[in-house]
Amino acid sequence: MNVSAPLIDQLIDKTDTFERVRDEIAAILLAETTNQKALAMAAGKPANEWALNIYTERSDPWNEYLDLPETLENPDEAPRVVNVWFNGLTFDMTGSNVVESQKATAIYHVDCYAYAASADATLGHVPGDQAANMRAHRTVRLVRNILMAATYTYLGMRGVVVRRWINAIDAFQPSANDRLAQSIGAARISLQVEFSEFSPQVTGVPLELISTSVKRNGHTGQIYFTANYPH
Amino acid sequence: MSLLDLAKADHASIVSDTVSGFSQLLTLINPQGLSVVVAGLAADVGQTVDPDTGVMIVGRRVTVSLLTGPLRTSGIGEPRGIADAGSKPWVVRFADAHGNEHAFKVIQAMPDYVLGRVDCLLEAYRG
Repeated sequence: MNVSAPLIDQLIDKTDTFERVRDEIAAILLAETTNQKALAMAAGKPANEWALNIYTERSDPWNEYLDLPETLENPDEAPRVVNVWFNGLTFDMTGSNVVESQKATAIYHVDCYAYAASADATLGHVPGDQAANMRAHRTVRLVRNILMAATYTYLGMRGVVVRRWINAIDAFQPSANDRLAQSIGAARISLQVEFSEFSPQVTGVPLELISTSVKRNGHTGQIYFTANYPH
Repeated sequence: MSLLDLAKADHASIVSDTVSGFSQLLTLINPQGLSVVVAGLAADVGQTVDPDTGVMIVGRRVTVSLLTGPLRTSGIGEPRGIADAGSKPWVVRFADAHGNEHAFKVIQAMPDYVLGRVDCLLEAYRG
């Protein structure tokens, strides 16, 4: 087997744009929901309704909520969970060049989960499944408004991100046979982001220095090209 | 005694034996507020579900099994899942292994009319 000599002479130690965009989505949600809580408190509204627990690329962040949602024995309000994860991307050859930058369209899933318990009410009760779905929808509302805010047209990465767009919002509910003591509502926001990915470039190699001069014969007009170089 | 009669007797003993069996005392409250203390089997265990997002969520699955005979005798009726938010639900209270009592709403009741038992799927309830 022939083994090629390596041609990339630099350590690939950068973060790709798709990773930076994923982290930026989560950072934006965290910063804005923190601010929303402060604004809610200033407005005299319950700040917890604007609180989200935000994760990236997690498959099992739920175990700490095993004893939730809130009940008389456990009065803390059940948190709403948002998980941001990269679903995949495609490259568009027409907007790219084969040497340096490739135009990419990525899909990020922003999954929103909410727990709720059934609760007694003055007249009747508040069903847990309904409450969980209402909370999940409220979470979607908050996330959608943040991500589609005019201030985040480029997700804070102008020059790299071309545009972002919410393709779809899909709501989920566990099947009847899978119902838990905690009612769960879930919805997925599919966020499409277009940006450029960049690849390692050829680094110039210094050559031997040479000096040249161009001369013209004053009588005949003939041009001479002379060069000095080590040999 | 037929095999069915024998099965009914064994079944009643298993579900209601709070002295030497797995049964325990449960408080059942109907939508009208009438409550009775009955013997039954209770389970409160962890379980994962996938809400179709492809990610498993950890939660708890809570069920009780009750004999329908004592329920009819007491006049409280048989539990049902109550979807109407304008009505009170059927509520079950029972203690966990540490003696802490928890309240649950009946969201599904699946009866066995031959053996005389109703299995209830429960949901956490605040109230």
